[in-house]
Amino acid sequence: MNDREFHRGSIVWGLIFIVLGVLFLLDQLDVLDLKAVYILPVVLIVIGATFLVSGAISHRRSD
Amino acid sequence: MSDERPPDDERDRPEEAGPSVGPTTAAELPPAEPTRRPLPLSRLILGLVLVAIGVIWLLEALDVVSFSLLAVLPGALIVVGIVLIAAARTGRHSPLIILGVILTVILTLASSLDIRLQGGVGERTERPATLADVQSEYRLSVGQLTIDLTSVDFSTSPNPRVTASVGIGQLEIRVPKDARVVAVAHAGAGQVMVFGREESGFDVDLTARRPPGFELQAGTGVLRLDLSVGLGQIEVRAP
Repeated sequence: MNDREFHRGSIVWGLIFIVLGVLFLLDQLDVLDLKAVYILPVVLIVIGATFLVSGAISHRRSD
Repeated sequence: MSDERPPDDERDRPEEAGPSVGPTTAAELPPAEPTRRPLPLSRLILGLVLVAIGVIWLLEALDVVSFSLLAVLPGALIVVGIVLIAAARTGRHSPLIILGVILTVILTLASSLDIRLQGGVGERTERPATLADVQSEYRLSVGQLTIDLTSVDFSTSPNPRVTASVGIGQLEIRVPKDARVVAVAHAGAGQVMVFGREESGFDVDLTARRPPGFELQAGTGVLRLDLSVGLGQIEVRAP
């Protein structure tokens, strides 16, 4: 990877952490009421989608 | 075994190591540019976040500030995310990703179980002797909190109310033998025992009155207890 190229994984993880951090902050401020039954599936979906998208992009680049 | 290798300090000085065999000598080479090592951003941010959490936790334990430690962790998670994006050019930054995942797991558990880390750590017993000594709130982050109210006469107070919470651990309340009490207890996960009634599991709510079935009227000196643990046990009993 070129030094000047952005590392996609860091950006995706960064976005995930920012979104989750905001949600948890709102939960601590009692604006939202987060439950594990809502959070965990969303986290799994996001991580799974990340793998799918990065896998598809890598496959396309290798062609 | 003979040791013919020159000492380390001589090997580190090629210009003094003897005649050169190549077409150019070391003295003719242009001075090597000092290589700039990249800033260890992951380590710096990791250290910064840990120091910040430790300082806030310490200040909270010393009663200098009073708020839930868990209110700080979402901010730390956001900082980790911003730094990951800002430093995306310089590599993967696995330590930061691991820190973010750990913070996410802690916050998920805390949010799911309604854990509030507030009020220190350890084993604490509160035994107020009079009504004036009774605090309206008792908090403990992790450990065992015992509140012994058996010496207090609540009959002269119009609306006595005590709120107590433990983040992770055990909360035990002892009420006077003849007091009329309404206890509202909640556990994110664990066991709740109030005047002989018992519930356990996740998201446990239990409300009980003592003596059972008394008429609840405003201004009658009924002690109201609002109790919660995130993860652990609540017990309310009379002698």
